[in-house]
Amino acid sequence: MSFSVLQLVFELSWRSLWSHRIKSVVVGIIILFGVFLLVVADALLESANTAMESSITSSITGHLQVYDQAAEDTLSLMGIIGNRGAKPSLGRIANFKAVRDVLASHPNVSAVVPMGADSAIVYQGNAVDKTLTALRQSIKHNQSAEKQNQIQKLLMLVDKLEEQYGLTIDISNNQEKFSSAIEDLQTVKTESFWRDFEKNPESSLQFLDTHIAPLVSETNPIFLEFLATDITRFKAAFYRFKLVEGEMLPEGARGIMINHTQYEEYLKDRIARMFDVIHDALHKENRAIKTDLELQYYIRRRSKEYQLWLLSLDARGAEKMRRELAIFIPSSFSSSLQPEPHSNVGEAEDNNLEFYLQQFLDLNDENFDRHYQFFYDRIAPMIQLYQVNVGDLVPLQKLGPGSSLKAKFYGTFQFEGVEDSGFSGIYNLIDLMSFRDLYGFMTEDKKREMVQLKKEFSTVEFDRAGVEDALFGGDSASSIVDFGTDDEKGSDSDSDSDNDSDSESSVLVNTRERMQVLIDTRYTSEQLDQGPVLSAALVLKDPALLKQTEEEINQLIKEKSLPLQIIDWQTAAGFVGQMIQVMQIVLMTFIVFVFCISMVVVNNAMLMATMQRYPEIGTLRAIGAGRGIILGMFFVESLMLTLIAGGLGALLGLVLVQYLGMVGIPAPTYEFRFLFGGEVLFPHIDEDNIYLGPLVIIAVSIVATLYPALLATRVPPVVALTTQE
Amino acid sequence: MLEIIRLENVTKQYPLGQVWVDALRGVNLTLYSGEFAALVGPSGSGKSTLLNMIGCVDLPSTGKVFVDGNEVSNQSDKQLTKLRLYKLGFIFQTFNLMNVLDVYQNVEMPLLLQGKLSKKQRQYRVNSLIERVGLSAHMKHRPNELSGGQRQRVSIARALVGKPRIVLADEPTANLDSVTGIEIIDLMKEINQTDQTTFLFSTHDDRVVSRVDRVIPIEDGLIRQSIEKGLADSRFVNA
Repeated sequence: MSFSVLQLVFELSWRSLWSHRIKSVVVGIIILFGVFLLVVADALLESANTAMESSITSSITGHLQVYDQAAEDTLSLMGIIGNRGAKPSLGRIANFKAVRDVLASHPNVSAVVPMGADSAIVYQGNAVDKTLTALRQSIKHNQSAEKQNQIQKLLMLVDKLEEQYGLTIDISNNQEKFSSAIEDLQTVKTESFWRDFEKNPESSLQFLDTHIAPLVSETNPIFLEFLATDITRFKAAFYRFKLVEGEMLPEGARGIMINHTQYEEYLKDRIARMFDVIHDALHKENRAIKTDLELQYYIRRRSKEYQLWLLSLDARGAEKMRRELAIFIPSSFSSSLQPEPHSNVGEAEDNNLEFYLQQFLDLNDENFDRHYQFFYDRIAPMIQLYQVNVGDLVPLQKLGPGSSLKAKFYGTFQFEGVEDSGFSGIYNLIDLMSFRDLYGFMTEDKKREMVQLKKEFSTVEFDRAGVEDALFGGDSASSIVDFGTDDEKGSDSDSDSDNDSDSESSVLVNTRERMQVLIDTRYTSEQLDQGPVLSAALVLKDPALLKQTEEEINQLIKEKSLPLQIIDWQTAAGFVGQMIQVMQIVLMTFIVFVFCISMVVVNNAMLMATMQRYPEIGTLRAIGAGRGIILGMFFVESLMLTLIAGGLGALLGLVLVQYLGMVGIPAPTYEFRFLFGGEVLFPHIDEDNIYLGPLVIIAVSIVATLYPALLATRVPPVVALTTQE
Repeated sequence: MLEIIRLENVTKQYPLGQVWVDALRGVNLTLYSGEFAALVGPSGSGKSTLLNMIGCVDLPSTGKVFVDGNEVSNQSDKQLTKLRLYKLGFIFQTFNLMNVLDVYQNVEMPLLLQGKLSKKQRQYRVNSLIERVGLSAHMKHRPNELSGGQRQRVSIARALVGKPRIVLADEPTANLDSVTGIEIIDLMKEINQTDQTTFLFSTHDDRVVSRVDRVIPIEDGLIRQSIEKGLADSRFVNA
């Protein structure tokens, strides 16, 4: 085919594109839309993918995880949610140090972080427990005013309990238990009980401990997922990790850090949390209580929980709150719905705290901001805003049969960008030593090893057993972990607290001192490394080389015959990783679907166009144009159309992605924050994106055009002569 | 006289719905260089089918067709295309011009397909032909800007530009008014006489018939006796 024929082909193609403008525009728009969609979807997918990957790899999993080769289950760090019942059996890495030394030698590994994940119940004593503890303290220190105050509070609680039990006794199946409960409560209200108390406080306290404290239903037990790690390594390896409140867990120290989102969501006073949630709903999400049934229901449900305040306040506190509210409430009444202004002040003064709280918590769009302000200004200081505060010693109990211990709560943290995602937000952090203690990693073997170690690293010079007793609040001098065994924890879960409060009071001074020693202990990283962990996270210098590195490390593991297996972050992320894969598949399917549609449409349009042009083809064939020219003509035609429309589509897609990259796409829900790697996804264009779209659409249009074009070449020239216009 | 076209016992059946139609039933025909001949017969007599056989755009069911000595049935699609490009010129009843190209480009197209001439040579030949058919003023017009007669003139120029051995014209005047039709026939006659180009029409237009040298009557797929006039007579005498 000579140059001039090529020119003719182009000329013919170009001109027929032009003369069939409408058809060209329609097909062009389809192609344009297809490429546009492809470029945008691909960029979004790619960006979300990168963001998700970073959400996971830079908060919890690292890029690779190694764990026990003999593990029965697959390690899934983010699959624990909803899987509490069946704890996976993961084996253990017996000696982390040996593993770390080998793995860290790989040139692409920037950090090897020890890990272990498990759940624990954060146990907080109930209101009676707390009052009894305070009462014991006041007796110990001879503070009679404080003692009287605590007794008043206790009596208030007893009144409340009697009222509760009186109300529910009729509908209870266990009449006997209820009657004896009411009997016990009434005993406490008698004068003789308190006369005995003055004579022999300890035996009366025992009665209160064993008979009254269990009557208080626990506040919701708080389940927390803990990730044990070497905090120093963790902080260095996971750049998203940020301190929010309090302080960092000191290097080598025992203690915990709580995920800030969980701290707010689960450990904050439930009414305070309600104020926060409603505040965000009204001011960030522009919702309105009046029109939002979900909010209305939420307020109705939550606002009843002021009962917990009543239980925790002492008489003075309750009266103070009542007075505060009495001043605040009438003004809001008169402004809105009180028709007779003269009567409200006097009456209001006589009402009780409960009445005012009900008024105060009857929230609507008009009063919310004032009430919110008042709550944080005046009410919050009077209540316990969080169940645990920074600096507290938090009792942790292993789920199921097992041990418990107290750990210092140093501060709250977030993974920057994925704060609220609920996925990377599932973990709280605990030091390795406490984790090993809590989850029974000190078998007899290990203990012997520890003794050996202590000889080797004689840096820790303290009475270990004594210190640990103090920490675990047990009297079990011989063992590190067998305080709080199955038997002790027993069937009556309400009495769990007994051990703690008992031992705390009886050996208070001694325990405090010993506990302080334990809290002040700093373990060297050698000591932390010399012990078992569940898994190790590998953070890579170049994540792009993940597959290659995984293979190389696998090789390394085999060479050194380490009993380990290695998985990538997607597997390690468990169901989250699977979800990401599903999302990828869904998005890819969507793109393929779009392709198929545009392919079918392009094909159809081309086929129609070809058939309309049979006479033209026939004429060309009759005057001596070969099949190649016809094929070329149709091909060039659709290629030109594709290039122009596809180019425009890609350009528009780029512009949109660039624009979105500047303004960002806000995550519509918490889950999206995780996918977006933050509150906002800033999509970006990879080089791949730019070329991929047009390339694939050209490929598709070639395929789509092939059939019509081939059909065109089969048109016999006789058609031109027989077709009548 | 040089033989250009020879048909030997050509038959053609084609399907029409459920039945097979015998379009040609054993046609023998020879055309010689410089003839100005017309296939004449009522519609459905097989004129167009015969013309398609000669034009190498359709193949006979049986029998042989020779175009300038080449047997058509033995040729590949490529060879047939070449035959059409170099040896044959077509003039269609419905003109069949490329509406997307202007007059010049339409006429130039066969030359481009042949790819033998330089741009200058093409220009010379195309220009002189357009001038010959009287459309110099419309060189840059598109076919849809021209009248029927003008379009058929473009067709004639296109058919002639590749210097074919024979020009086949399928009812060239059917879509033209009578005056224009006669003008077109006269133009072709003039070209025939000055350049010795061979023409074969199919037509049932009496005015066309009256202007040709040889009338080939066709009926029910068979050729009746040819009525030879003028040039043909002298050949007849010589033979």
